[in-house]
Amino acid sequence: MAAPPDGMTEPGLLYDSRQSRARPGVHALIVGVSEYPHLPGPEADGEEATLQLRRLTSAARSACSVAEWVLANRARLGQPLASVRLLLAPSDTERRESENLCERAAGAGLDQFLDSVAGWRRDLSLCPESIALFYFAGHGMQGAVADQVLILEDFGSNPEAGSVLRKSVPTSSLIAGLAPTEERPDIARRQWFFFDCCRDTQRTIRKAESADPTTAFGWATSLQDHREVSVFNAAISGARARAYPNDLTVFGKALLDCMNGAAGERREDRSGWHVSTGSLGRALSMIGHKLEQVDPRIKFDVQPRGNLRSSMVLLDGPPHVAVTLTIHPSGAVNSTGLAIYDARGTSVNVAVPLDPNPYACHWPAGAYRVDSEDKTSNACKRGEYEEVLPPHWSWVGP
Amino acid sequence: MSWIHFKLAGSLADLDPRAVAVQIRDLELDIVARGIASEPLDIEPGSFIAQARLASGKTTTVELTVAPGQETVAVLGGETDLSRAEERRRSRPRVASDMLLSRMLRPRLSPSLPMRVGRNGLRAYVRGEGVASYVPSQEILEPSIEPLADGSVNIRFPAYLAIDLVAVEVPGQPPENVLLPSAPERQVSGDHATEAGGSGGVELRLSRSQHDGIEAAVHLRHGVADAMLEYSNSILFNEAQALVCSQAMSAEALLYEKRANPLAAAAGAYVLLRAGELRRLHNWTANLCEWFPWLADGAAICGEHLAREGKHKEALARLMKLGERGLPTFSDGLGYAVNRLTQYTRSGVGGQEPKELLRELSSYALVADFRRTFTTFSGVDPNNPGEQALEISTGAPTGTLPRPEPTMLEM
Repeated sequence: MAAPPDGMTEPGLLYDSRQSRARPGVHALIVGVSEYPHLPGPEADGEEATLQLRRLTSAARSACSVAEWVLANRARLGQPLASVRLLLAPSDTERRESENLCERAAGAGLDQFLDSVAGWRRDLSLCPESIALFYFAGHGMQGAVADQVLILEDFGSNPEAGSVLRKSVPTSSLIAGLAPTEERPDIARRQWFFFDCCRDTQRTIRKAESADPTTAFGWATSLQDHREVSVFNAAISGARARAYPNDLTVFGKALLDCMNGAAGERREDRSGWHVSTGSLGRALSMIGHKLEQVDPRIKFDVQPRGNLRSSMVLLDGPPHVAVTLTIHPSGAVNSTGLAIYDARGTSVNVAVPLDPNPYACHWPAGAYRVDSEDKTSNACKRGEYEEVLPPHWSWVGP
Repeated sequence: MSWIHFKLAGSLADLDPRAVAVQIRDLELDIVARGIASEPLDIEPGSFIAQARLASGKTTTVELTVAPGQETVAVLGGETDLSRAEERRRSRPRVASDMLLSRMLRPRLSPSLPMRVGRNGLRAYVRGEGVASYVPSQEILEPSIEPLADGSVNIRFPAYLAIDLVAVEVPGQPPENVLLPSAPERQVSGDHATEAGGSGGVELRLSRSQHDGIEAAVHLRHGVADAMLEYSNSILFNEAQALVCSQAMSAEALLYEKRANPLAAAAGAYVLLRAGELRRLHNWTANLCEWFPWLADGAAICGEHLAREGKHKEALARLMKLGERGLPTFSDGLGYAVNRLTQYTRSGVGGQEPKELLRELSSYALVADFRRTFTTFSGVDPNNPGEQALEISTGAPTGTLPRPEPTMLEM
C-alpha cells in the first residue's frame, strides 16, 4: 500500500510520489547529523569514552542542500523522483537556516535510521529499474574490521552500555542488505551511495573486545547480483572528511557542483548532456585531486561501478567549463593574437592581448579551436579542435 | 562506408597501439565510433575529430575529413609545427639534477652486494606462512633500473622472482609497502621469461610525490593490461572496455595458450567485475583460481564472482584459500575479500576460520589506499600494518616503533 501523499505517517518522508509503486523511480534517503547531544561541543575537548568525537557544524547543512537539490531536480534524475526521506540532527544555526526542512525531517538516532532504511528498502524492492540514492553526512570511522561505520545522533548516550559503536551502522550491511534475494528479487539495480564522513582508524576501536556496530539489515542469502553499486566517499580509509567553516562539507560542495554541471558529459545517445556515474566519478576525482594539492588531508575516494554511462541527472544544455588561457612565455603576450572558434566556426570573444595572463573565463562545453598569430612575423598557426569539458580546461600557447 | 586507420606519432609514437583507446567524434562531440589504435574503424563520410585518450586523462586530437569510399589515416600525437613542439618542450618544468630519483637511487650492484641506493631505499620481503608474515628477503636482487625522462625510475622485476612486498622508505615518512605478485619460477610459463621483450612480471615505478615523498606504483609489463587497468582506475569506462574486449585481452590469449599471462588475466577479470559483466567472465575466474595457485588474486576474483552468482558456500571456500596464498596483490581483490568475509562472518557462516582470516585481512584493508591499483599500505612494519599511521591519525605521540632490519635491499 502506498503511503499517504502528505507523507505524515512515516516520519521524515519529505517527498512522496509513490502512487504507482511498481514504476521505476529514484528513492532517496538523506541523513545529516551535526548535533550529537551526547558529545562535547565543536570547540570543546573530546572525551575518551566517546572516541574524542565532538559535535559538527556542517553535516546537517550539507544534507539539507543535497535534499533541496534532489527536490529541485526531481524531473531530471535518471528516473523520476519517487520518494525522499530526510533524517536530520541540525545544530541551532543550521536549524535557523533551514527551518522548513528541519521541521519536516525525522531525527537521526539509530531507531529512526533503522525504520527509515527499512521503508526505503521496501520501496526499492518493487522495481529493478528504480534507483537508490543514499547520502550521509556526519561522523564516521573505520570499524574493528575494515568496515566503515556511520555514527548516528544518539551515539554516546551511555558509553558503558554494550558496544561503543552500537549506535552506528556499517556501510557494508547497508549495501549488502540491498542485494537481490528471494524475498526481494526485484530490488533496484542501480544504487548510489555518498558517504560524506571520516574514515579514520581509532586504536581503541581496533583493540576493543566489543566494538560491533548495529547492522542495517539481517543477513539474507543473495541471488545472482547484477547491481551497479557506486560508492562515493569523502575520504579514503584512514583519512578524515573536511568541511568549510560555517558552510558545506568539502565533499558535499564538490558533489553539488558536479551534479549542477561540473561533471557534465555528452550523452551516448546524442540526446544532450547529462551527469553519469562515470562522469561524476571522474569530476569528483579531478576536483578532489585539485583540493588535495592545496590541502593534502583531503582525499576523496570514488568507486563508480557497473555501466558508468547511466544517467544520474540530465542537464538543460552544455555545462560551463572553467577555462584558463595562458600565453607562454609571458613576454609574448602583446605580440600574440588569438582567434578562437567553437564547433560551428563561430568566433569566441576573448580580449586580445590576453589581460590578465593567464586569462580565466567560462565557456559552454563543446569542441573549440584556438588559432594563434605571431604578430611580429605574421605567422599564423591553426589549432586542432579539442573537446572542452568540465570541470576545467587549460590551454597554453602559442 | 569509409575507413579510418590510426598512426601514433610524436609524443605517442612509443606507445603500443593496442593499448591506446581511440574515438571518433563529430563536432558536437557526439561519439561516432570507438576502438583501439591498432584497428581501423569504419565510418560514414564527414568531418570529425579523431581522438586518443590516455589513462592520464590527456587527450590528443586531430581533425579529419573522410571522403566516401576512401581510407584515411588519423595521425595522433604528431606535431605539425616543430618550432611549436620545441617551445612546448622547453617550457616544461625542469627537474633539478640533484632531485632526480635516478641519481638518488643509482644502484651499486654486484653479485655479492645487495642493491644500495643511499638514504632513500627499498626493502624487500617474502611472505612466510599464513596471510602475511613477511620476513626480509635473503635473495640478491639485480633488478633492471631504468631512469625515465621525467625524473622517475622504473625498477623491473622478473615475474618469477620471489619477492612479495617492497617497502619504499623516505626519511621522515612512514614507509609505503607495495605488494608484488611473486611466483615460483617453475610455475610461470612462456612469456614470463626474463627476456627484455617479455610481457610477464611487473615494474615498480618510483616518482616524486607532490609533498616531498616518493610515490610507488606497480605496473604490469603487459602493456595492454596495464593500460586497461589505468583506464579503469581513471574511470574511463569506454576506454577500459575497448581494451578488455580486444584480442590481446582474450581469455584464449591470456589463460589457455602456451604463453599464458595470469597477471594480465587477473587484471581483465577485475575490470569485468567492476563493470558487472559477469557473463563475460565464464569459467575464466575458476581457471585463474585453480591453475595458478601462487596467485592470491585468483582466489579473491573467483570468490567474488561466485558470490555475485549467489553461490556463497563455494565463494567462501575460494576466499579461504587466501589463508594460504596471502594478500591479494590488487587492491580490488583485498576489498572484495574483506567485504564478502565481513558479510559471511556477520551472518555466522563458516565458523571461526573466516573470522580469523577476516581479522588478518582487515588489518591491511584498514590502512590500504584503495585508489591504488596494487595493494599499498603505509607502516614501518609490514607485519603490523598502519601502526605509524594510527599514531598520526589519533593525534597520539608518534612513538618509535621497532623497525625490522632486512638483510637485503638495504638502501
